[in-house]
Amino acid sequence: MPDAAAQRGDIYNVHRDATMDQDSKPLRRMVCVAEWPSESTWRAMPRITTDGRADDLFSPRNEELKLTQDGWWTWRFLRSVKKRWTGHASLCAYLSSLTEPLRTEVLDHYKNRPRPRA
Amino acid sequence: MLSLDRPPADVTDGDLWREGQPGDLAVGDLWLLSWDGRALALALASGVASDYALVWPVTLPSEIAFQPAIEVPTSPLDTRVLVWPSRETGVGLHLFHRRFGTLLRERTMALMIKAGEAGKEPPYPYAPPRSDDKQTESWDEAMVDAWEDICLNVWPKPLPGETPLNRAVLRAIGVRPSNLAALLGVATSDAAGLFLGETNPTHEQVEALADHFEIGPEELLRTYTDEAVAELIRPAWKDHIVAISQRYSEGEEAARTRLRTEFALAARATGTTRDRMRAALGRLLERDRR
Repeated sequence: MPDAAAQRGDIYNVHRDATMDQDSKPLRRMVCVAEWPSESTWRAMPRITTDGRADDLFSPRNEELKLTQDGWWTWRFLRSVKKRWTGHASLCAYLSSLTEPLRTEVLDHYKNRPRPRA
Repeated sequence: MLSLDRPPADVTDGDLWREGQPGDLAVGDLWLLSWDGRALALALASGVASDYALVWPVTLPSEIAFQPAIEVPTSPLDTRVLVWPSRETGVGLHLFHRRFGTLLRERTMALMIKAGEAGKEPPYPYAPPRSDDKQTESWDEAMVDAWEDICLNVWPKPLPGETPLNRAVLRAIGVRPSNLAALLGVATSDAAGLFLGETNPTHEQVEALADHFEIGPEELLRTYTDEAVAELIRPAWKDHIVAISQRYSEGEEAARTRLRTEFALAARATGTTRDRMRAALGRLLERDRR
């Protein structure tokens, strides 16, 4: 079930856990880019809709994927999402799953993030 | 809870903890993050960009840890540490406070990433499997929440009254000078100035637009970066900003704003940005002492 267990390429509408100041945009589109069976979280790459930069991946509006505005997939706010939230209607609602060739393009963008060299 | 001044029980070298080691931010380095005079977390740099870095959280042996965290037997803190590549997080450079030295070589980190992706054993052992108890669950929740807060701590924050509206956002939500005038109850000429970014909206105007379009207030404002921000975001300025914060009894955001303002007041001064910023710092620290 794509909504209960995030797989790479799945897009969710993730709520920021209100532990401190309210985020200006509490809900963000985020795509699962990595997950581990032994972890309690999966790694999410966010999609921003303002101030995209040269090293972000442009993401045009796509109604089928429930991406309602142009935006950018960005490494800047890469972070962990709790697995126990996955699929929760208000905290982490499943939106869609990337299909090829877009799935490879987005996951390759994640792989090309600044990272240690072998 | 970590402290800027007192080393944790796991760390015996108090001087290293309080002073750190000189050096620029580089992949493989262990750093202490802080904001507002509070230590936030230990972090291992895994990728460095112009105004942020990707990091792996690092925890100490006295803290709860579980697979897929990896146990690294030695560290610049002279204690083993746990690194969490599975929780890689983007962190603004303004949070990097104190460097402790190189923790891992890039090649070792690359092998850890590869092991995680391929489901194989990493170069160092995994921590024990996670225990299914309330204390572990509670600690885990707190760690994830804390790192989300760290990730989302941005500087500078766009502030109404100091930042123009983001024209691209206005266009995307269907705002034009004509309907902006009607929405805010201002003259068309004033609306045009706001729309073009020639004047900054007030807090009330931003709130009114945010409410009407059901969009976050900060989304409406332009992200503002200038030469002062690009300079002050560098970790090398952190201790100086803390000094201003203490000198003027204010938080870190206010201290950074104070230094930017002082820098801007001497806009005609010659020298590099760094030289002029140092001069601005000097003036602020000497003020009212004479």
